[in-house]
Amino acid sequence: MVTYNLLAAAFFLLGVRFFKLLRLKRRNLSTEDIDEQLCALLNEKRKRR
Amino acid sequence: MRKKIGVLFRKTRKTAHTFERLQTCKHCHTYHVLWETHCGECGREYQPIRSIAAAVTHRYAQSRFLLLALFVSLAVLFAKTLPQLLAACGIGLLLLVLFFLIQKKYGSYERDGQFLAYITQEQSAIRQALVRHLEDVGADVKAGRIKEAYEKTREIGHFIQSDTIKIRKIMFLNHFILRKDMELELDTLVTSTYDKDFVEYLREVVKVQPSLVKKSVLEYVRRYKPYILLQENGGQLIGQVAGAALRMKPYVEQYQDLIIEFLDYIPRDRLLRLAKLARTHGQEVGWELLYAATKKQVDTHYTFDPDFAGIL
Repeated sequence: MVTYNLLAAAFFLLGVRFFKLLRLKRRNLSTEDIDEQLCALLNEKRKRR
Repeated sequence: MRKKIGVLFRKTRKTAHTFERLQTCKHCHTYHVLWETHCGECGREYQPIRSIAAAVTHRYAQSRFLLLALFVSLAVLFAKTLPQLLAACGIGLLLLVLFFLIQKKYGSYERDGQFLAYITQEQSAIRQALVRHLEDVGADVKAGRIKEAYEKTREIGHFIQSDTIKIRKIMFLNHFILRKDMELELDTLVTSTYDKDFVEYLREVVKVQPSLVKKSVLEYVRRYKPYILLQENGGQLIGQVAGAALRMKPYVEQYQDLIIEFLDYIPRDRLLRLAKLARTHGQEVGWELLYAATKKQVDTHYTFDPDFAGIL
């Protein structure tokens, strides 16, 4: 029984990982977006200070 | 008038993205945006932050894989019967293969997502690095090292797009004799308000590199035309900018009010270009006024010039 429980846990882990990666894929983040966000973060903070 | 100096700027790195300019020292946990390749504190080589973030993501994926492998191994170890052993081996192997395939297919999305999270987490350290560089710039100015001060501010300016940085860069640039072969900037210096030093810089840069005149500069000149006209030879400057706008047809169409108004100040070679453009596009809608004004200007001043003969 322990074997099957451990296999179920492994399967669950894989499922969580799959959906996490799928969510990241759906975000469709490009390097341009990252670049824009970096500049926005650095400039936004300065304005707030 | 301030005596200008001749300088040769350090070549700036060409990168597709701003974050590629950002380097980090893993040991000191500091960031760096200038040209040095080794950390000033510990002497270790700087690493691009993208590779550091990718390594973190890679380690995370590895830890998930190891956890999965641990569960599968334990399942095999705890198997009490042959069917349990076979199921643990078969299903375990299948799960590990699936993990590998999923990772291969979607791993790049994770790298990008984690990279953004990494940047967000490190933003205050990055900002501290920029402040530190700005302090260096202050020290350079005090020591009279204007060229170094400009080069550093130029690198910082890739990350901070504030008027303060732009005005600093303009002030530094106005210390130098500008040349055609220099790596100059113009549209990245356009301030949100009128700045006399920028106009002074524009006057110099339009003489040596008119190709730097872009939409933002033309908008600036149009917006602050009354202020520029108050300056010495302001009309001539606007004429030169308008002449530089003749490089591209969309600029000609969009800023023809400026071109028509300052037609008297447009240099001869640029007017020749305008005359040729007017001949080609004169029949198009929206070109009537420009065509008529150009024709009048040519008829008034260049009637006997052989280069202009028969164009309009």
